[in-house]
Amino acid sequence: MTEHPHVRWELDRDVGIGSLTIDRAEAGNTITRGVSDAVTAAINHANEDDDVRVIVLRSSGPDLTLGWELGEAWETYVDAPGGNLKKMPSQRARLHAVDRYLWGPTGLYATILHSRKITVLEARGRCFDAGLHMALVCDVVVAASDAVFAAPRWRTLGVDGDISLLIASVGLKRASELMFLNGGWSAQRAAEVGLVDRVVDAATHSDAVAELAAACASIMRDGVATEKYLVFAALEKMGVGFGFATATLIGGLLSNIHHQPGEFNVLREVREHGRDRTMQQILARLDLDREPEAGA
Amino acid sequence: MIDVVVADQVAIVTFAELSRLSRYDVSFANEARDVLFDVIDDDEAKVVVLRSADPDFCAPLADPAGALGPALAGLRAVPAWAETFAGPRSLNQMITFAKKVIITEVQGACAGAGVGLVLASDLTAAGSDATFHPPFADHPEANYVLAALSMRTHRARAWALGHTLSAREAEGAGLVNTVVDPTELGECVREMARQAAMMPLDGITLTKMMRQAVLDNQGVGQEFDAAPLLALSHPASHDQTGVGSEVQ
Amino acid sequence: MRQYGTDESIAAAPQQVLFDMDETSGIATITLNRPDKHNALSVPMRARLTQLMSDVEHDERIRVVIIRGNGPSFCSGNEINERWGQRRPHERRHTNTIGYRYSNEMAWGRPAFSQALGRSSKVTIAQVHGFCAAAAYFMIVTKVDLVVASEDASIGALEARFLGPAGAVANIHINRTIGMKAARRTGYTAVPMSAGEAAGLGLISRVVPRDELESTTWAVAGELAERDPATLLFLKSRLRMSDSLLDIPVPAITGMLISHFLQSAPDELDFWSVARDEGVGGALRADKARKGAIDPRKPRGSGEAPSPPLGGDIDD
Repeated sequence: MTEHPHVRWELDRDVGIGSLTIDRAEAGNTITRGVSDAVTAAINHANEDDDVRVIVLRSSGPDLTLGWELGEAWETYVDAPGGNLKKMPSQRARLHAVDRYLWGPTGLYATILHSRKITVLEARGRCFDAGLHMALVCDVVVAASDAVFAAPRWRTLGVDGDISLLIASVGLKRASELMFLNGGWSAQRAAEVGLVDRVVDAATHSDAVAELAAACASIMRDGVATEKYLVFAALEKMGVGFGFATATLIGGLLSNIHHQPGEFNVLREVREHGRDRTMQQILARLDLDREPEAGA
Repeated sequence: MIDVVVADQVAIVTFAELSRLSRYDVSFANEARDVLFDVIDDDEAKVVVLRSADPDFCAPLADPAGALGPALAGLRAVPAWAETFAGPRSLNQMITFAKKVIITEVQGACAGAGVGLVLASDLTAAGSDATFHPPFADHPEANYVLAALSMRTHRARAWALGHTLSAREAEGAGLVNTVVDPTELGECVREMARQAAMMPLDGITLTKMMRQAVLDNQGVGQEFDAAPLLALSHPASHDQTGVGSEVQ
Repeated sequence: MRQYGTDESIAAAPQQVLFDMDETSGIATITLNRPDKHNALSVPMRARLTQLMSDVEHDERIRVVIIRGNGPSFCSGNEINERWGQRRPHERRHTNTIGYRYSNEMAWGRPAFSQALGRSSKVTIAQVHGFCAAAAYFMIVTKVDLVVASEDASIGALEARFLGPAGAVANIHINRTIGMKAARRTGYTAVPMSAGEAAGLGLISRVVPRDELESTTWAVAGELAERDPATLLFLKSRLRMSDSLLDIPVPAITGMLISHFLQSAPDELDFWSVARDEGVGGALRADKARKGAIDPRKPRGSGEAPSPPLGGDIDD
């Protein structure tokens, strides 16, 4: 398998558990095109290896991910076919990019969702945007107690990702909280609403992941694989394929919206003020110190 | 009897006597439809808050089962009830498929048609004194699929079968997003609306467009479309004759 | 409810969408009456259609509704170059609300006129002659219960030539009505169907010579109108329910006005700017002159066909 500086695959062949680590902590583990391609390649490679039973998805450093790398967003559209014929990338180029990297059949999320192996997410720290989606597409989610799940990019742009999995996991009304309000979910809250399976202390996090991964790895592979294909059919029936398809369209269109005066224009901010400052502004909108929900 | 105030990109719509909708008051339904259509269509408002001027959001009727019969009179000859209360321009459908963010602010009792608005809206905040009466036995136009998608099936079923939910229970079940002291309810909702209004206008409309598509794909639209047939099978309609009976 | 349109188009709508009811037979007729524009539908005309279909719901005397057109064609679709909901002064571009409003409230969505036709509790029949293009095709004739057409009818998504398919391939109700193969073909080639072809596909139930169109449609309507009204109502209710289960009523994504997002490449016709400068007729001529252009106005197998305008000026 091709090496990538920021993505590491390590397989313990005896127990059949592979670890896929995104290692870009200095940048908040934001996902670049290169990282996405490397992760999808690793999963596709793991799918071909009969010894692999479980894939653990994780990141180095304190945060799972702060989302997609903003600094590349514009180029991703320009570089897509039909993206540089005029000053602004065409609609077909934007759709192509969103499909290719995010919501299409070969994008990051469909690749994880349709893996034939059981996927376990080791979630800690800030699990934003892509981190939220990773929690939704992985089979089992073990969160450290400091994990926070939120979608700050949605707050500044619009919901440019699939919501069918979110609704299926946490319910329609709760999904709206992440879509329209500025808060995030603590690990505890995420467990209550149905986004994560287990919450553990940071100190015991890797052990807890290993324990659950081992439990999954002990189940007969024919049983798991057959169930996986049943699941794929069921996901279509439940409208998840539809959700992904609409996310592609809406995501592509959201990159092309007209902004009202005073509205934060993410892509323009990145071009004019740079990626770091824009990220700060996006993250500043989050209201993570809100009082816990009454009744939580 | 419907007050609208638009400021800071939020429209606050205050109803009086929302229970008129539970009684199938045609002129009230038409007025509400016209007002909401324009409010939702107005780009000065990105977020719409629905609230009530009364101590109860939507008080239960003294005889909830008794309202449906007269409303369905002549249903086999003229589907007027269906067109007004269960059609695409009914409040429930307009709110469910609205292109702006809709927040319901609920205090006191929420019964009948008021529950339909809660189910249809994106977000709901409730005072701790709020109670949620299941509407499905007396209102064929109430959308059970929305309840099931919000609360999961067993909770929705238990509720539908007759268990009134307290505010805390409703929050725990996923029907309501937050519960606060009644004295703080208005401020809480205003804050939610302020946050929701931060999303770009075009972003809101695209987000709602996607939500509408996903909901329609999950059976919400089909449930709405079933309402006229459900009404025909409701006991209250069995006394009605076909051609020649009173038309509303 | 807010009304969209210009003062002129709002004032003209009642004369452009006529309504008649024959109490003896229980048949109502809606007649599109804008023959100089081949019955192109303005926003107020569509609002009037929606209102008429709502009124019809409340009228026990009516069993069947016929929709027809005066002049050389049935209908050439929705008006092009119309404004609905002006941009607010500070807006440099159309917002999505404009597209959402057009698509959801004025065309495809639940509150819109195509839904009013498709969800009616009365039997609906389209009487089609001449051109049946664009919205007339996918928002009217594919939404009513039955279509009776004359031999000269030409049906299709002619606007796809310069706007792209815009739903002509994707819409589920089209796929279920003419089959997936024809849905793809009509949208991606923009070549229209002749009456015979449309009948072969199942879209049209009767094709007759032009001079028999009115009487045949009336006879078909009459037969249905004679059925027991309560049974007819039940039947329409359950058909509507089944349509819903088949995902027929509403497009997969409602509210998107695709044309707003599209960017023409340097070697493609920028339809909207040409239409703005030279009128729709000019844009159609420019389109015809392009490399690879097929004149979409000629259905396959027909001889020279008269030029239709597509919702705009006839001959600039």
